[in-house]
Amino acid sequence: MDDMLVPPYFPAAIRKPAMTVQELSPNLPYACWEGAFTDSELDRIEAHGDALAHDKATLFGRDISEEYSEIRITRTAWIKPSPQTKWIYDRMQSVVRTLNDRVWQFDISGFSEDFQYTIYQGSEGGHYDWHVDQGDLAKRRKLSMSLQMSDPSSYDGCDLQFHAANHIDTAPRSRGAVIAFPSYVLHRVTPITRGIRKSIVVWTTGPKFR
Amino acid sequence: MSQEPASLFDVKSGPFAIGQALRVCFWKNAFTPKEVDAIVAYGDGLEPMRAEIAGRKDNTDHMRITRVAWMERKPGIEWLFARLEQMVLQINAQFYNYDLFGLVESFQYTVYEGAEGGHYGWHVDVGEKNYEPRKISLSLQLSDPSGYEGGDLILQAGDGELRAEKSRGALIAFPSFVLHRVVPVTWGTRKSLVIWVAGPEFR
Repeated sequence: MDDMLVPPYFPAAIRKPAMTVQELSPNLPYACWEGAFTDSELDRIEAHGDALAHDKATLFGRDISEEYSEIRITRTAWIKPSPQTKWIYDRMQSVVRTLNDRVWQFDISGFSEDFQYTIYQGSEGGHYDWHVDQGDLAKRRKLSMSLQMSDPSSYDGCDLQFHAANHIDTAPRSRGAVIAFPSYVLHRVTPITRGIRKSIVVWTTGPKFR
Repeated sequence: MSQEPASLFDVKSGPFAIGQALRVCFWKNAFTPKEVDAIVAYGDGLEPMRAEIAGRKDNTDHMRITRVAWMERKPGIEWLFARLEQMVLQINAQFYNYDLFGLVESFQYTVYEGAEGGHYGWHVDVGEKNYEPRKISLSLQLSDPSGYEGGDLILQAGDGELRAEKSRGALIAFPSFVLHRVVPVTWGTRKSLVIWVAGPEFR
C-alpha cells in the first residue's frame, strides 16, 4: 500500500494532553483547537489539495463577476470523500465531535458538503468580506470549521475574524489549528497582502436550529 | 452596505421577514397609537436607572448610554404581556420554529436621550450565563420618528446592514444571536421596549 494512503490516525487519548480547547465565553464566539492536525498530516492534505483543479469561488452558486469581487476573491477546490481522503474526513470528524461536545452540544448529523480547500493569494488580494454561513441554500449548516494550513510567517493579513460584540476577535493563525463556530456567527477573512494562505473549510449539518 | 429602509416595503399588516441569511422580522402597526400611549405612560411611571452591561463594573459609556426601567408582569400591564406572547407565538411559528419557554425576563423600557448621546454599540443578546438562554429578541418602537434623530436600530443579518422599521408601534423580531446596535441619538428622545424570549439552548 502506498505510504501516502496510510491513515495517520492517532487515538484521541494520545492526542489529548496536547489539546487546548478555548471554552466559549460571552466574549469569544469561536472555539479553537491548536495543533489539531500535525505537520505531516497537513503536508499530505496540502499535496492532495494542490493537485486538484482550482476555480474562482462562487457565492451560493453565483459566479463571482466584478459585482461580487468586492465581497470575495478566493481560489477553491473540493476535497471529495474517497478511499484516499477518508482519513481526512475521519480525523476532522473526531475534531468536530470533540469541540461540539465540549462547547455547544448541537445536534449534528454529519458533513453537509465536501471539504473546501481554499487559497487566498497575495497577488490577487484574496479576501472574503463579512458574512454568515447560513442562508436559503445553506439553511442546515450548523457548525463551521476552518483548518489553518499555512505557516503564519508565510503570509501577511488574511486573518479569520469574528464580529459578535463591539470589538472584533481574530482567530489563531498557527498551522494545524482548527477554529470552530456556529454557522450563524458573522465572520470574514481580511485581505491578504503577502504570500499565500491555504485553509480547509468544513460545514456540518443537522436538524434546523430549534 | 445598507439595504433600502424597510419602511419602503408596502406591507399593510402582519409580520414579514427580511434578510437572506438570518431572518429579521418587521411588523408594522403591531400596536395602535392608543396602545403605545398606554405603554409609554406606564413605562414613564417606572423607576429609571442607567443601563449597565452584564458583568462589567468599569465605565462602559463608550459601549452604551441608555436609561432603562424594568417592566415586570403585573396586573396593570398584564394585557401587554399576553399580547406579546401571542405575537411571539405567531412570529415563531411563521419564521423561526425555535423551542421556547416564554417571556421569562421582565421587559426593558429603554430611553435613548439625544442630550446625552444615548446609544448602544454592536452586541448580541446571547452568551450571558446568568439568565435563561435568550432565543428571540424583540424591539417595540414607542417614539414617533419625527421626535428624534439617529437612534436607528441596525441589524447585521449576514448580508449587509439592515435598518429597522422606525414607525411608532412597529415590532422588530430577530434571533438573539444576530449582531445589532442602536446608533447615537443626536436630537430628541427615542423610547422603545425590549423583550427577550427564553428557551433551551440552541441545539
